[in-house]
Amino acid sequence: MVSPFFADRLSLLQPSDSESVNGLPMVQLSEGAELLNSLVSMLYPVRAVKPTSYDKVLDLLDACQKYDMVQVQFSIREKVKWRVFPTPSWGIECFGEYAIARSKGLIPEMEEAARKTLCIPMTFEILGEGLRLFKGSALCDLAQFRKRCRNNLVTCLESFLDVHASGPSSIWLGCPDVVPNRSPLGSSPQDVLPNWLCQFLSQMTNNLKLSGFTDSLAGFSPKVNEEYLTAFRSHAGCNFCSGVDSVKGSTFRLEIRRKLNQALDKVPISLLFWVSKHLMIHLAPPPRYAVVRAQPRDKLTQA
Amino acid sequence: MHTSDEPLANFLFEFRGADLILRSHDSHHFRVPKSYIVNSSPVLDELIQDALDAPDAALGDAQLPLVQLPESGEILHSLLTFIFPVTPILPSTPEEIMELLSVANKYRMVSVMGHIRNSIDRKDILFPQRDTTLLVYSLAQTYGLRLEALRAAMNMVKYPMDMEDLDDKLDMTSGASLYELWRYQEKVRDILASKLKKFRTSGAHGTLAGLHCAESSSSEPHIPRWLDVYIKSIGKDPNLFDLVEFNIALVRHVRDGARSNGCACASITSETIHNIWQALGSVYRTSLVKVCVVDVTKLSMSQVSPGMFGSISRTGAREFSTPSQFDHVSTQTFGHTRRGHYHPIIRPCQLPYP
Repeated sequence: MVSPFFADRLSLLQPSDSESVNGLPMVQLSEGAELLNSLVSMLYPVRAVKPTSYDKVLDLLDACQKYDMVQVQFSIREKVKWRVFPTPSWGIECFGEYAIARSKGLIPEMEEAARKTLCIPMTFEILGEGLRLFKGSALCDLAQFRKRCRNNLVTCLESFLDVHASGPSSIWLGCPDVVPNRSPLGSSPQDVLPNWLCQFLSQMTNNLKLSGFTDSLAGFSPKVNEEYLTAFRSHAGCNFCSGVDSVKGSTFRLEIRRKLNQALDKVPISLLFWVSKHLMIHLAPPPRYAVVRAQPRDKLTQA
Repeated sequence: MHTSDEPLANFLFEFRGADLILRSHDSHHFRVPKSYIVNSSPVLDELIQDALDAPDAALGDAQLPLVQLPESGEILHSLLTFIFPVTPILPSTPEEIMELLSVANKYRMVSVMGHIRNSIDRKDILFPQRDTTLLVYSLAQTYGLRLEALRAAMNMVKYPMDMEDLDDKLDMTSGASLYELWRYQEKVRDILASKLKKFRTSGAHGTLAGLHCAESSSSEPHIPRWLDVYIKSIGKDPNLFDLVEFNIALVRHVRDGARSNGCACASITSETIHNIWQALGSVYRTSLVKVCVVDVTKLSMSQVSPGMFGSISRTGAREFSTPSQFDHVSTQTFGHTRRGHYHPIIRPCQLPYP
């Protein structure tokens, strides 16, 4: 049995109190026929009926969650991953996908959509009528998420300004231009990064600090190369830095971008909504029922 | 008039001839003459009648019939002060005031609602600043109080409607309410910009007669340039409609040479300023009331799908599929009739300004 929910439900069915059609017990479900057709096709060794849009994939995942169909839900996610089923959008629709996935408690889909929104400005003009999809604290949570992402990027970039022997910036220690700038706190000149590198990292950090959560982060990572090269060219006469750049410069830039991506991946989505979601399930009015015929119990058990 | 284990403060009015007890959900008893209640509320009239007709009707103190109500003692007490000939007592917080209005609305107390609104207006306590205004707007939308939602939206025009600014206030209201508020502001800005343009080209409705500015616009009707720029700026940013901003614009003009050029603006009379401001205020206010706020509780969420994002972005469309449902129409009260059906009473949009 793929669904503990139905296992319980069917075991409780009594011949006296259950409706039947042509001798088969009938169970009323709240989902529409199109969704149920797709869902049932996932239960049997037949060709899966593909949902026509990603919204409908979310509905399908929601139904699986509701009926405890863990395996089927996994299978649907795999089909989305391998593009057999419709995939989430890269455009502004991701705001709506976030709101819907959140309202249904579909965490992976919600996280994916929330991360995609980072590449798009979060403004009234962009969200428009789609704002109506945002329930409860969904909008505020998304704003907080975007803020946390920004803060994590700032922290990540600032970590490149810290010089540790094993840190990625240590390759730049030794630029002759900064050797006279011995720190009054007693750090060795070897601990000081070249000015152009400090300026590059500080500039990127300040830009992030000045931007708001509504701004898009699209193009931020590619900008690393651009800003790096601009800053580096201002220091063209230094043999030491030129040498380091020619050998390790591209790896260093890649490392910055990799760590920035990691910093974004580490930002969690608020889980507070679980409480409200849980309450909603128990407080929601009974849904509109569609009548469907259930399979005979023996067939369901085999499935 | 009331009894309870923990008496509330200010329960001081007492009526002779009480023939009914109203009990709040927190067990406060209010002994009241039934006639006042049934004359103020058709809903309570029905409720009381049902309670009296019940074979197992509850009896309270002094064997009076008892009617249980879901409201708190505090709110009921406040509500009763607007029904009986005593000094009305408004609750102290905007949240409670909105709850009071929602209860009066629920019981279809048309006249009581008018009294409560007058009392609110006299004290001017609902819209002191942006956060409170947003809270009132949100509660008004939740309770279906169209007039308060409209007034809050009108007051919100004074503040920039920017997601970055709203920040941690974003969870004060639902996405649907927020969208309606933003849409209201967009419409107001459009109408305001258009009306202000007409106002400028009409020479500020003739209020500038005799004011010969050294830096007037070249075309008729020769409106002073500083005033022209100021009026234009209100169209882009309505919160600049402020007498202080107006005076700053005037002072800058005078400081920047109007005095030495012998410009009449340097000696503009207070009467002229008053007339300009009155005429400008009229344009501003009529722009605000030309748009009504959509009651989000009445919107069908089945109209909403993620695809909206794409369509809005591509077409720039911001209209509802049935705009006539909302514009210039205000659904004032949604009451319960004796037959148990809800009948929205549709009236023209009420103007909060005379």
